[in-house]
Amino acid sequence: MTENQTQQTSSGEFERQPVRRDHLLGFKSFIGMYAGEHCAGTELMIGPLFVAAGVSAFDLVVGLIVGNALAVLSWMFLCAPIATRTRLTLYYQLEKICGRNLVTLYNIANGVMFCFLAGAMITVSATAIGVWFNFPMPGLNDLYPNSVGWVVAVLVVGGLIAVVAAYGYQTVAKFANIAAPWMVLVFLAFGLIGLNQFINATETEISSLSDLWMLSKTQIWKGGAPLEGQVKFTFWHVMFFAWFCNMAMHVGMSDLSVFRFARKNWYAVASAAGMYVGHFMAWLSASILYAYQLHLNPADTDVLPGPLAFRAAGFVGLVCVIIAGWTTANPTIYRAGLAFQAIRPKASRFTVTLITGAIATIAGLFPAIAMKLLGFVAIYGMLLMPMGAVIFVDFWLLKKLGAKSNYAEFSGTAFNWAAGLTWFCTLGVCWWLVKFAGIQIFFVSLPGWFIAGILYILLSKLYQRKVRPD
Amino acid sequence: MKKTIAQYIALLSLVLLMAPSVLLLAGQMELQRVKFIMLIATAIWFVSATVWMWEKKTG
Repeated sequence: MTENQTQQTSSGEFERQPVRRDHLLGFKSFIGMYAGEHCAGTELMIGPLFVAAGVSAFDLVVGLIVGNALAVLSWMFLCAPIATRTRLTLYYQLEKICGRNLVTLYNIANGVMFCFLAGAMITVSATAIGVWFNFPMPGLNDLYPNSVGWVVAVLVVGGLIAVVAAYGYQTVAKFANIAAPWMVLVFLAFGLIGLNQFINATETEISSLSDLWMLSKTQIWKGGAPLEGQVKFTFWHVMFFAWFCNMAMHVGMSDLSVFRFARKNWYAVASAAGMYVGHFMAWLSASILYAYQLHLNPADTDVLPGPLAFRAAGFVGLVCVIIAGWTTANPTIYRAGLAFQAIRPKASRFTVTLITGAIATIAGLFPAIAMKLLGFVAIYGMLLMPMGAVIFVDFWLLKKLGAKSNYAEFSGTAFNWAAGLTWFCTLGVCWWLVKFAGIQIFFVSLPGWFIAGILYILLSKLYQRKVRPD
Repeated sequence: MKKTIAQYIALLSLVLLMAPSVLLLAGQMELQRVKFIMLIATAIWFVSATVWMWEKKTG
């Protein structure tokens, strides 16, 4: 989020009113914001996890191109058109539809997921500390902390991030803006250096793009069986993962809060900067580093961004890992704090952010979240997706189908059961599909969105007949 | 004036940051030297970009 926007949202401006025309932002603001925000510490985990999942070169490259395009289209055609028409925050839009109590529940779910995500970012940063102090770090299939050194490193990194977020969120946000262009180029350098290491190690002659593609197919992303404990990734896995890893933001409508500042809804095409820099170039670069590690020693399956980055770029690599984790954990903890504070508005921001940071730090101790990041991100998107479908249907369809939109505001209810049941039932059906119908978590959100949309229409018709305003 | 100079230095430092890895890929530079130059470029970037961007209003 740009500095300007952050100040507006954090100071309460436009939190419960549409953004005024004189506060709208230009296209460039969104390009910078998305390019910076989606080049984060977690990219250094996701890229290697693709390799651990036995992905092939074609499946990875084409899957990312298509999946990221679908993500951009979701921002453009689902999220931004509503954002630029209502110009409200997600939370206020939801409150009008769902009522205050249901929004509180949504805030808890959102805040908890943000805490886990920030925990994964703290885990990433702590792996850089491990290079300096050489303590044992978690392996690919570790669920729990495996050394005292690891625990101390996570507590120190997480504690510092929490305290800094509580004291000086704005300062870190400024620092993040400064670090972003540098970080993007360091990620690119990771890829080029990793490629050079592969060329040298395999003594390959590269004189054309087809030579490069051959090296990619036969040495870097070889396909085949995944590593032990990992799910095999095909083209469809990569495509759906790239599409849905930010599902909470586009289909789930979190970025209503961002695009309410956009002059035109097509500005959402700026999200392509984030997708093709962070979720294409950065993922490919990070995956090359891990593939090289496996090439050197197939038994060394640990996904540790610190050592990976250090091997490629030395001290700069370590600094990049720390900054990438820190600058992205900072707003994540801050946002989680905002979500929790919405539940108890009178609690001090400082205390709430510190407590949120403490929860994220505890989550960061457990490597399971970072090592299973592909699955966690898919769950995160799925959890919030039904509310995105509710907003979409409420805004575009409900009136046309003879029901009232923004029904909580209209009826004065604090808990719109049509929306609430849509959320719970959709998650229940998704869980059933994953558990008993053999649909993997990466795919279930697509049918889930349609289920949520249909359920909300049917339940709204029933509910609005029974619950009428006083 | 100070900001303009800082801006040019910052942009040049990004070129300095990227050029070594491109030269490495072209077989024109050793990895150790690449790491060293990237470190220098990083230091220059954070000093000059801070002067350039710290007070900058975004949006």
